Amino acid sequence: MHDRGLNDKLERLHEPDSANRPRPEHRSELEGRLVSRYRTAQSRKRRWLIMLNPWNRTARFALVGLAVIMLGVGACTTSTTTEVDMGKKMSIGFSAKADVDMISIDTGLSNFLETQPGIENVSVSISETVDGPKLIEVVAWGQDLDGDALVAELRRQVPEFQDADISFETLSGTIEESFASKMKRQIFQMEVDGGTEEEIRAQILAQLAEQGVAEGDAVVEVHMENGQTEIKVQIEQEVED
Amino acid sequence: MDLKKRMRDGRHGLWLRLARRGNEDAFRRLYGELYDPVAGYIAARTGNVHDAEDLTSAVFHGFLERLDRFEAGKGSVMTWILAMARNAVIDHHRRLDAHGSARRGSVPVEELAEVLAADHRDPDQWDTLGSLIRNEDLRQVRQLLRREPDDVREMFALRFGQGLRVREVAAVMNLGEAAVKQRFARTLRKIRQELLTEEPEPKGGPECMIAD
Repeated sequence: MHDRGLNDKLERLHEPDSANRPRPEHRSELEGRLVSRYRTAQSRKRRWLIMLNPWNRTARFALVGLAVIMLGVGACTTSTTTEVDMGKKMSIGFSAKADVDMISIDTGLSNFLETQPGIENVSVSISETVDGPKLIEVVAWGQDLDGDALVAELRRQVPEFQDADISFETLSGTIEESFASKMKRQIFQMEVDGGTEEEIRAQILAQLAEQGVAEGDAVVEVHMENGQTEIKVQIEQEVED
Repeated sequence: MDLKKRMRDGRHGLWLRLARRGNEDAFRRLYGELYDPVAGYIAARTGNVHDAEDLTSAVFHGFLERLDRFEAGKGSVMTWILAMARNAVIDHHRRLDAHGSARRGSVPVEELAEVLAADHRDPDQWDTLGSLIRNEDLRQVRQLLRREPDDVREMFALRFGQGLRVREVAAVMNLGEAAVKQRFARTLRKIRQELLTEEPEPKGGPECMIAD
């Protein structure tokens, strides 16, 4: 009782002094500047991962390039809209009685998500009440992730989730495909370590070759200007029906 | 209270890891929760709004640059950024001091201890400002605390002003946890004893008895 009283007094003694605090608008101004720098830093940092999949900007470009070429070759299919599995949304609930160590959970969940193949991006939200249930919502983006396997693996790898109430739903979207049945959304994954235009081009061609694309079937253009690097990849391949 | 802090630290750790991987939303959320503690810490240790804004901005820009260097095993994100804020305040006052006395070289941290204790304002202004101590109990505690060395007062400012745990206070001040814990315990014990000693006779005790 006495301790609580002294603690209260000490907390009141150290209450923030509003006299010299930054102006309210400073928070948003600084946020704008930081986010701008963050974006620049991230775009530089990224080892230009090129995923030729339907919901990636680079991929869409490549898809269009590929579509045009394929129409030239095949010219036998019509445009269709196809629903695709874009990821999984997992809801993980802990009962109010559960002894939940959020630090272990955070660490376990982060390590798990970082090592799962196929997950391209992820967002996590945690809602809590002091005495009530705790809910973690994970949105994992990636092509055709196996929800059941993901949940089973999560329970296996992170003991804290063994008794948690976990459910998931599929996040779906639609894409326009000119030759959906033929292309089967083939994915080419490439990582580029930087260098001159010619060096980057050579790296991409080498990786395409490793994935079965003959040099004559691929056209790679690399253009650097004002610190930006634009990479265009066109692949010409005949695909069996 | 403790669960709330652990949740906060867990949340911050997760957001930081996601921010490193390019999740802008995580970065924004992290900034949103760190801004007030950092700005509040700096504002209490600088003389004007302009300096507080400049230092707060500098700390967050440094935070962004070092995003990849955070090591989860060494403490929480909150501790990490408050240590950056503390260093920024130290550098700021060193610059001011060097500029004011037209001398080169750095000022020892010990000379800035009172600034870092965040209790360097004129005591007469406390009541004039009307924003802090208004009752006798608080005044007593404040006076007792002011008798303590500056580094102890900084520990109290971090513990009770910023809401840090003992371990985190030690990390921010670059001291051993055991030493900080011991100094907290000793000072709290001393303050309690002093309060008991200075406690006035219960009001109206004998008079009430007479009235009865």
